[in-house]
Amino acid sequence: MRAFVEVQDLRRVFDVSKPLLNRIIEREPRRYLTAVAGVTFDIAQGETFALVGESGSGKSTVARMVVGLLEPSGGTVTIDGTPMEGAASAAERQRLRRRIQMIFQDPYASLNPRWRVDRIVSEPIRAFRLFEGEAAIRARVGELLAFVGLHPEDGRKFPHQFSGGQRQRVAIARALASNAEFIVCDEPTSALDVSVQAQILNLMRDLQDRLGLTYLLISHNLAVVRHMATRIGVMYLGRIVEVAPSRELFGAPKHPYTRMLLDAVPDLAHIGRRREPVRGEIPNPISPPSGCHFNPRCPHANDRCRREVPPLADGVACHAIHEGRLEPGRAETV
Amino acid sequence: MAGESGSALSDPPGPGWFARAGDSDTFASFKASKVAVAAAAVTALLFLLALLAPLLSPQDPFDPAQLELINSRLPPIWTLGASWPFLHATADGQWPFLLGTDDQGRDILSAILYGLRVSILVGFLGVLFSATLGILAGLIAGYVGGAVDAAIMRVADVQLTFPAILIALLIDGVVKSVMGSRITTTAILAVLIASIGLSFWVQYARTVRGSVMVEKNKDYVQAARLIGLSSPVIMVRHVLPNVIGPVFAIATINFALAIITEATLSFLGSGMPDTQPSLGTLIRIGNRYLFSGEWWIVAFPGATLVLLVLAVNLLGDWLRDALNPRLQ
Repeated sequence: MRAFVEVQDLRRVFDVSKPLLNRIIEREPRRYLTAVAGVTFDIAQGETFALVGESGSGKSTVARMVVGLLEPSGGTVTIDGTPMEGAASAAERQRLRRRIQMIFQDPYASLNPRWRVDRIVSEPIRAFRLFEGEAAIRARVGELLAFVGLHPEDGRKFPHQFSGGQRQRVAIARALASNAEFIVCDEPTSALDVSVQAQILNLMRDLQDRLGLTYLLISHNLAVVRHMATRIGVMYLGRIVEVAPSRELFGAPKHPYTRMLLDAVPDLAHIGRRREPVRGEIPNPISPPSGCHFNPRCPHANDRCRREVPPLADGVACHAIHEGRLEPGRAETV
Repeated sequence: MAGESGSALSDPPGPGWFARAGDSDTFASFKASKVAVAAAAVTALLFLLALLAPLLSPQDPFDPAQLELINSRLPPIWTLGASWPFLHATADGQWPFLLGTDDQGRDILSAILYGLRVSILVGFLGVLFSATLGILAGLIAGYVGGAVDAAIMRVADVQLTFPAILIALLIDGVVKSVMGSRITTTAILAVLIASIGLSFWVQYARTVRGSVMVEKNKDYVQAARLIGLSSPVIMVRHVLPNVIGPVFAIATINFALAIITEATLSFLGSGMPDTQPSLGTLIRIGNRYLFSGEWWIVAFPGATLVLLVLAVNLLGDWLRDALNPRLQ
């Protein structure tokens, strides 16, 4: 089966140099920040692929490149066989855009505060000319609002008249308005109350079942990922360090970083157990460590780890695993 | 999901725009501020007087045929010993000169009403021009960023080093030397409006640019980019309505500034001519007679100008505070 979304060696470098004059006076070279350093994954149709990682691991940058909001510095994104870069014509590019939508983190910022909800939801319909005539568009908007659990009458309201969860429903309705098949969700619930998070996640799963949607889910919340994802990629400092089906990753994590993350998750089964706290902080991506990016925090690092970048093989990028120095284990046994 | 579902909050259709404006915080703060209400009342009154000038004024001061030199420099009517209410036509059907006349025999009251028209027109169009220019420059600078932003903002910095009067005198000088004696009142009006517009656009540009730089990174703009809308469409449809608020406060204060600038230019002689006087022109004419005791020619136009500018300024100050969330 061909993958629906293929991401190949995606890279993104940001220029974080000081202004020209400061550089000349202070004799400083240009400085670059490598946010994403060669990320490869693919997503099958109808699947939910999750990217997890700490702040600064580059997961949101990947999301923005996949939907085309950010130009990659290198690598390719292919959606259903069509490459995003250099899509032959403007019309082809627009056809591709219709099939990809995004749900943003902050529902307070992702809806134009001066627009009524029906106008917000109808904008993609008008932009892609999916329906002709005001009456047809209004009917479709009402249908979409009902689809996400709102009342069609709510279209006459402004975003500030809704709660955070309801706004996220509006954002989902907008994402569905263009009949998108692939939806990138960038931390869709992290700005919401815990009580509302589950409702939104269940709505997303429900819509996936009914419409056959494919999701790329960006999250730092392992509970959310466990609930939603079919497969999971763990990112660390711009690289994917482990990719595995959800059950496998939570059951038998391989990479030391994954184990550290899972061990930090509070759960009811291990109350009172002494935990290994997450040690150290994510290094500055402007001057990342040589070799394996995780080596300064890794208990199993040796000279080779400090020298060579481990390739992603058998779903994990770790010399210790590849060499057999470390057995895949249960999260609790780190 | 019950608590979240839409049916729970489908209250009846909201009240209309006007009713909502009446309920808004801004309107409440307006009603609470006596100064703002008074300033708005005075402004409205002066606007009304200017609008209805042809109906209210006893004389058309722009029509030389109505002027009699014999009536020149008559003092206000009450200084001549006339009794209240002063207003009765003389035997030959002529209205008395309530506030006196100037050196041409022009009724000061009529001249003020017509002068108000010119001042308000120049102020309004000047503000419209400068706001359009400034909003456009600020939108483009803030949204495009980079070299374009740097170029526009450096031009703005240079612009700030020239006083408005200097720019106006420059434009006025060039236009007058090009057109010579063929210059028309319309051309003078256009010069005034252009000079004022070119002097005041910087403040709009800076304010709008700052707000645009905040708004353009918000996700609703990203969502619009996602469906392939072009930058100009996103700027006008999404960004502009969200940055326009502070512009109204600036525009109100600049309206007062524009009126003063016009009056100054006319006072200096590079504004409206004697035949089509604005308030500034009237003050200039009156200034010549101040030392010979004919005080009314300068005093009444001057008082009107002060009243208009003060009222608009107070209104603008209130609006600026009302729209500033940090002061609430």
